[in-house]
Amino acid sequence: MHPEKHEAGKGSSLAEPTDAEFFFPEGLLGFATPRYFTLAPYSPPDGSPSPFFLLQAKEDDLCFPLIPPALLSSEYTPSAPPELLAKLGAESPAQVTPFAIVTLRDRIEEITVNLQAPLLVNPRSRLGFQIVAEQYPLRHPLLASPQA
Amino acid sequence: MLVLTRRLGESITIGDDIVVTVLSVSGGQVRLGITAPQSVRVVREEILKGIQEENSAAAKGLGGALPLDALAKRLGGAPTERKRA
Repeated sequence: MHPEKHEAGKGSSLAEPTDAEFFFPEGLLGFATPRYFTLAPYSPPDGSPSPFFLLQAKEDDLCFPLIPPALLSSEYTPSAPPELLAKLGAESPAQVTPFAIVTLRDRIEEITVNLQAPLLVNPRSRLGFQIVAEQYPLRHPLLASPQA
Repeated sequence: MLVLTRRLGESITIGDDIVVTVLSVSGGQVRLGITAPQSVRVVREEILKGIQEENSAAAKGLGGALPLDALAKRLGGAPTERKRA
């Protein structure tokens, strides 16, 4: 690992317009298709604030809730090697925005975030890839201290 | 499935630029060294399967009523930062 060199997302702006169509050339892991998605901030109907985004497939009903992992841990730095940056059409890791997929479950305390396979997207090129970051947990609890 | 027998230190090449070398064998464990281009994803099978299953579960999680509303409310916009264990 060379986090000092290949850190993704630090300094990338979440304020950049992301409610746009993104192309995932390799799909998501386990899903070769669909490859075209709309990525947009999720707004609850009553207009209250939400940290979530939705990745909605263009070709079918597949939809993934996402969260910017920086909201969970400032120490989260999945590496983006130069080859991946090239595939994303990015010149530096700062141009790449990471998202983590949220796995919703029946009980709110059981909801987890997948930090092991983040999505890296380039808002400029509208390209995205799901990568494997083995050192991070597959099921990281979303809520810090569950109130039972 | 192609089956090959290799001794300690011997290798197998796959295509033009992937080399798998047997580094050590002890007990029931084999250590493999893998040289491959960065563009080739090299991952333990169970890790990849776990991620595929988690993706699948995440996609199904939105099947019913969207609990994201309640969740967003609970988090008040942004969850507080936590240290990783």
